[in-house]
Amino acid sequence: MPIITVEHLSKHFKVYRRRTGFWGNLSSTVSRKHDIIKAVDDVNFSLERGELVGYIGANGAGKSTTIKMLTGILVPTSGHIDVMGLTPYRQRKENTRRIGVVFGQRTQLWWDLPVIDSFELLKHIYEIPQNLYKQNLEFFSEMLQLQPFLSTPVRRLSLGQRMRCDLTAALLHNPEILYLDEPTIGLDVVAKEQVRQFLRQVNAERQVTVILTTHDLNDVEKVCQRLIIIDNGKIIYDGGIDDLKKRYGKTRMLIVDLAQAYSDIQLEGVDLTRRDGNRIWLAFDRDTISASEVIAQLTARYEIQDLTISEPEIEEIVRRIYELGVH
Amino acid sequence: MKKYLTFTLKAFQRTLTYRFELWMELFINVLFMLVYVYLWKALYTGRTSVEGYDLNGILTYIVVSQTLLTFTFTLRISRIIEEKVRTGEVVTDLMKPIDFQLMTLATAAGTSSHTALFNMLPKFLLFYGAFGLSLPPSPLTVFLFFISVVLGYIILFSIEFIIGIFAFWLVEIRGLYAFVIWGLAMLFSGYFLPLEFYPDFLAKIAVVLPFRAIIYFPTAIYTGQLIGESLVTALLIQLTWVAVLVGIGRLAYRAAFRKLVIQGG
Ligand SMILES: Nc1ncnc2c1ncn2[C@@H]1O[C@H](COP(=O)(O)OP(=O)(O)OP(=O)(O)O)[C@@H](O)[C@H]1O
Ligand SMILES: [Mg+2]
Repeated sequence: MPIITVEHLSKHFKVYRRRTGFWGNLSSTVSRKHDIIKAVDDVNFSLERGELVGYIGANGAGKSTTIKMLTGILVPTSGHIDVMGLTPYRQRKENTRRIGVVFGQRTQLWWDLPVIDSFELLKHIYEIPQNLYKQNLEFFSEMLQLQPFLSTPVRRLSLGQRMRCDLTAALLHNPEILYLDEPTIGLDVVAKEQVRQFLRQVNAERQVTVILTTHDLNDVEKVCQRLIIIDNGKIIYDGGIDDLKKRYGKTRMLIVDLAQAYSDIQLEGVDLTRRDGNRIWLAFDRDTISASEVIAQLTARYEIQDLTISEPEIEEIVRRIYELGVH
Repeated sequence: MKKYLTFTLKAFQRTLTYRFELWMELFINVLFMLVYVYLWKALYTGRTSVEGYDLNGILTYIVVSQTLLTFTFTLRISRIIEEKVRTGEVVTDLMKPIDFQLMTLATAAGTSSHTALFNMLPKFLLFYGAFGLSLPPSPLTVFLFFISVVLGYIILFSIEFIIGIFAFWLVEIRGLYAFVIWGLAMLFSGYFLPLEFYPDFLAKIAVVLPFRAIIYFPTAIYTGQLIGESLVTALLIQLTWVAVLVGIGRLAYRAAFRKLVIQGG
């Protein structure tokens, strides 16, 4: 029995061309001139309890819109969502009791209150029994080292500290599902690693189902077992990360240091994906052209100082999927 | 229920941190009230009674109504809702197992309790002592006065809540707010003058609007203008408005939620 089932889910935004001023507002509300944006377009997937899924896609792909519908704050244009037997936007309050949400760009803590006061407030809002609250607070402050700033007002926290507090806030009431929309945005390498480690542990020890969106594919690679890629509102990949590598990872990357910065680089069967001064990155499909053929081409035309071949990174695979689609 | 009281408490505590602003506000209020009181004193020279109010009666009316008016200009609920909608913060509220309307009321009550305690009460006592105002006719009237104040407050809150909800449709609600609160409410709530002083046609309009239930009713109960049956009727009218406006607020909020489109993210 899946914990989340999404069927033919769509969200279309009508974008009105707004006029300004009081009467302008009124008349644009009445007038029917609008464009339609298909933010989420016939999406289907389901999650089993305890899964840890990465939900990725380029800017504007529809990730946040999907999360908002799953959490019940956005009403779908059409389709069905079943979360633990509830329809989130119809049974919003009941749904919110059983989920935790973190929006990386926004805090759910009270801006001018000390962190611990926000936690206390949440205790009352979610009606968390005192002993459970104490136990969870201890657990999370230990794990995320919150002690030093528990009595600091939220507005004075650094982004990384705030994120740790927000993660705690989202989990104090023992939710069954945790939704994270860009939880690592703006964090430094160490803080990111800490969040990832935390998510793995929460998922493993507390059986919390986690769905997270991100632009940092290291998050996905290090944390998730499964990956869903959305593009222009449509799901274009849903499966394991290893599968993705197997299917789309036939590409090899050749990094070459040229003797000089040639202005025009022409090679057959090879994709110039990046260049930085004298260094170029060449991607090629090992089924259609071998590495030695590529190198032969190169040495025939240009003077080379150094080169390395690398296995494709998930980042590279996904970049190509965003650019070229699935094939 | 307890979780809503927590909101009240926290809002109360939070207001404590804006002490300087509150002192400034109090200072300005007192100046305005002084001007107002002296204006009425001047108007009453050579008269003993107008429309059933003697000088002491009218001064009591002015001071009580001016004090109650403080709620109107410190509430700011529609602004807070507008801000929440504009910044998308409303999302965080909707993401919690709480009733948005009750939570907003609980929060407002926290801020307003602070206002009542640290602004309205001292202001009132100051004028009460300085001008020898009268007290309500009986302890029972004192009690009913407070009931009426609370009902009036909920009516004011509900009106502001409904205005705030319009932020889900309109980008800007300042015009609407100014029209309803600074226009209609000021004119028909009875803060400016006792409604007995109004020309007939204005008085007739005031009767069908909810605004007189905000300030005029509690004040007139205090001064003893409303007694016996008319007092009971006033309370019943207030209760009716509470039910109607809270109801409209809920419906408006439901409709707003359905059409909710959250910006950014
Ligand atoms: N409230 C709205 N009104 C109109 N269009 C919207 C609204 N919210 C989102 N959109 C549009 O829907 C599409 C999907 O947006 P969404 O926020 O879901 O993208 P995303 O995948 O989260 O992107 P990002 O990675 O940039 O956060 C975009 O084209 C966006 O412009
Ligand atoms: Mg997003």
